Amino acid sequence: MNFVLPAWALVKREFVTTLRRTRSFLILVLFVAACIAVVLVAYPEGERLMMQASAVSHQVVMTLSMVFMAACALFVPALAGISIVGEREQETFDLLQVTLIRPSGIILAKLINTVGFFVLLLVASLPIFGVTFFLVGLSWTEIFQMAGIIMATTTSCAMAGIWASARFRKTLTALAGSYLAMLLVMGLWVAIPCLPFAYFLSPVAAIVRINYGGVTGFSYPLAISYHVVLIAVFFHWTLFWLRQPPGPTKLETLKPIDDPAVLMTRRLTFPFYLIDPLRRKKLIEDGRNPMFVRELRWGLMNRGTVLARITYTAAILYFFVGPFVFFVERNTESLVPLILIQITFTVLVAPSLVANAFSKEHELGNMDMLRMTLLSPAEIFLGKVWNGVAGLAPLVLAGFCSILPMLWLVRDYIGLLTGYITFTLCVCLCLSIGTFTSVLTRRSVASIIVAYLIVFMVFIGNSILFPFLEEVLRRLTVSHHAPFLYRHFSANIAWFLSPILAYGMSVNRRDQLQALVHWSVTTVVFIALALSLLAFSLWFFASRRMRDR
Amino acid sequence: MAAIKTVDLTKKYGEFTAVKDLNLEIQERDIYGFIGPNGAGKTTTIRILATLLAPTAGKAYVNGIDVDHSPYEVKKIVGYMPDAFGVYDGMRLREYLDFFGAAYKLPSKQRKTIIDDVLELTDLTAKADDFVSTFSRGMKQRCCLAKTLIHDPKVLLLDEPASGLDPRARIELRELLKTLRDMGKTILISSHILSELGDMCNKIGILERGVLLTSGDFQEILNSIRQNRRIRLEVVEGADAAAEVLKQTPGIENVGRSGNEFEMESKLGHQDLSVLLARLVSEKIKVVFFEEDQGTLEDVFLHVTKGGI
Ligand SMILES: Nc1ncnc2c1ncn2[C@@H]1O[C@H](COP(=O)(O)OP(=O)(O)OP(=O)(O)O)[C@@H](O)[C@H]1O
Ligand SMILES: [Mg+2]
Repeated sequence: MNFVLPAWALVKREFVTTLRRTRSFLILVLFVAACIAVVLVAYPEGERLMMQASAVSHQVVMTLSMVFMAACALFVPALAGISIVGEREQETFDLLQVTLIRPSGIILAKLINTVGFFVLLLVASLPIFGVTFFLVGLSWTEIFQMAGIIMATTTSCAMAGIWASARFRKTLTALAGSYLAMLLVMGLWVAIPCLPFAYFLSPVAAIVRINYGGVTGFSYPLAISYHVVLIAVFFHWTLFWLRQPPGPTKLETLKPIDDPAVLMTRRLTFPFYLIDPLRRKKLIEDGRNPMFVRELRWGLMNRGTVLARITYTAAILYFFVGPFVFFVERNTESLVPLILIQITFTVLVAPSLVANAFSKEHELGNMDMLRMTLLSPAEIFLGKVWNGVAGLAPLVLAGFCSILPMLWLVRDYIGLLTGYITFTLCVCLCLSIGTFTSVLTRRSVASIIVAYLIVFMVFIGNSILFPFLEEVLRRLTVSHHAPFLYRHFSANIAWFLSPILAYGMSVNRRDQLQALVHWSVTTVVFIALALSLLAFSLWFFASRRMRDR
Repeated sequence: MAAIKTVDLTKKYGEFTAVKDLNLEIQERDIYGFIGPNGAGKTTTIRILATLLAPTAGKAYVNGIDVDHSPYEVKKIVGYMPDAFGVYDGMRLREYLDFFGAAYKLPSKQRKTIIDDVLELTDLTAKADDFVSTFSRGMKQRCCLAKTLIHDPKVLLLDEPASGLDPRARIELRELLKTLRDMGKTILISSHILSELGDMCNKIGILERGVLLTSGDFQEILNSIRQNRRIRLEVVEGADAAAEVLKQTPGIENVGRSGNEFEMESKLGHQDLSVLLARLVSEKIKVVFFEEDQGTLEDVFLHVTKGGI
């Protein structure tokens, strides 16, 4: 009892506060709405009902399960990833540790809090699952098996996220680690096809199997025990990290060096000192934006190693993937994978580089002092934005370098040009979305998560959502016969709700001028979107953030 | 013209009123001590004056400039030191001050000398090349003060500048503030450490639950709460005779005695007090100590506030 009670207090403190938030309620409502929409779209119409009942009910359950898995993949790592590191950053973790709650109690409480909300989602959407019982062809065993897999996956993802949260001392790293661990849990193992039952180690594959009757012998217990093992391993690992005393803080005791001779020898002995961190920095020059200079010299340059690594990785990746794909595939379509990889990589990296620009100042407690200076809001804002540009420029440059050999290999100049423009546009969109969320929120974690969600929606989500919503609307309204022209239009428009898909279309239909025009229109629209997001952010910052209300 | 003036200043957070109808008036070259219990609204008021917070109602002026209308002009003449602040990672003190100097639009030629001056003033010269993030709390406090002084502001708004300072640094801060006052600056300083404020402020204001209970000259307020001055007397010889004399003197009441020490309340003016002392001496009583008890800010504070947050 001594062990349980304090931990229970922690569960109550967190879970109840989570539930009290409007945000939680909104997520719940949205989730249930999404489930209803899924069922609506998948539900068979009219006379097809009887004929295909079994297949359709499988499909409905399948889609719902996938929605769950997607929700798990999106939200659980975020929730779990900040659980401990968040307390550390707010310096409440020390207070927690001196209470009677044992480390294992803390972990359990965090786990319950993370998974608990998810269970709530599952329970709330059960009535919708229930719809499928009216359909034939689905057994209770299957339903329970699937629910089991979903719950096990959620728990192991949460546990992995909590591990990342205990392991890393910075929120950003912890979040990244949490999402990586989620990917691992979710099914990296599918990549090993020779292992018997290996597909069962991937929950997604497992759900497909259960749904289409592929469960044989030990495969289901194997799947569940896989998660149990994962949970146990991560639990103990987390315990280990919680008990680990805080590492020695980095002592910055080195004095700056003025002597050019010393600087030179340092440079010669260690050639990476292109920018020697110990070299005395010049005074900020007149007429330059101090904000930008500060960010550049002390922010970006201090983070130089991380950025350099990212840039090198990007450059190497870009450089080799393109020609590789080209030689393997031997066709001009190889452009698309190259550009797609560039864009994917950028989209994964960029938001976290820029989305904490302003929220960081709030969190560090520098905002007041900054606002008190004679810097105009525009100067502060542009300083931050330019810094974002400077941070992302290496990615764009690396992309450009990788295009150069392609010029010689592919000779599809228009395709290359549109591809590179699309790539640059995506970088700009990441920048403006990151800036936007960073100005809007005061917490870096919130800003980064929202930035990723918006980026996801802008790049792919809209194109999935639009036809989906359209189908929902069509089913809700009586008219089943939309005019042909309208259908033609809406089938096409989905492609142009995303700059990436628009580019893919324009490459696929290279011979058609119309496709190029579509691409141009999309690009212009998204450039306008990026610019207006920036303009809005500036306006918001100047009118709302220079003074509290 | 008043250096700082507020007219019916009110700040509400939702339903909660943090500052209510505040009318402050601080003259140039005043060191104004702003005191009050936790949550009284001191920080709120100071942040409004510093243009960082929009008031719900009322007006605030710094040097006659409306804080609401021309925040930029106000920022030029105001130095604000927040009660809680962070420091940038990876910046050395000199670089940190250089950044703020540049942000206050000081030309780079002047900046170097100014930085040296404020470092000297805050006694941080030896730390100029150290990283700000490695500083102790008290040193961060001084560093923030140095930053506050960098653009030579006419009006200083200091929110608990002494917290975290060691005794020596506190005394130095007190001297520094007096120097700054002599340089013609007006200083609004909030603090909980009353003994210190008492030593350096000439004016005080006491705030409780957003209401200004009293404001004005420190000595006057002190006198007003105790019409009777307290006198302390200590003799080496002739204590009984002294007790007799005190008993006979009109205007001396409530004499308390412990051994050779006396404490009493007096309604006498300075003239009469000196006559009393002369009489004691002429009676061959050996007086070693005859003093008016100054009274402290603590007395005022406890007298004026009611307690409770
Ligand atoms: N952003 C805010 N939102 C809501 N209430 C606030 C906010 N800031 C301050 N308050 C409330 O306003 C009141 C006054 O706060 P303020 O910080 O001005 O007090 P203070 O006099 O500086 O106290 P202390 O001596 O503890 O620093 C407090 O009751 C506080 O809870
Ligand atoms: Mg305060």
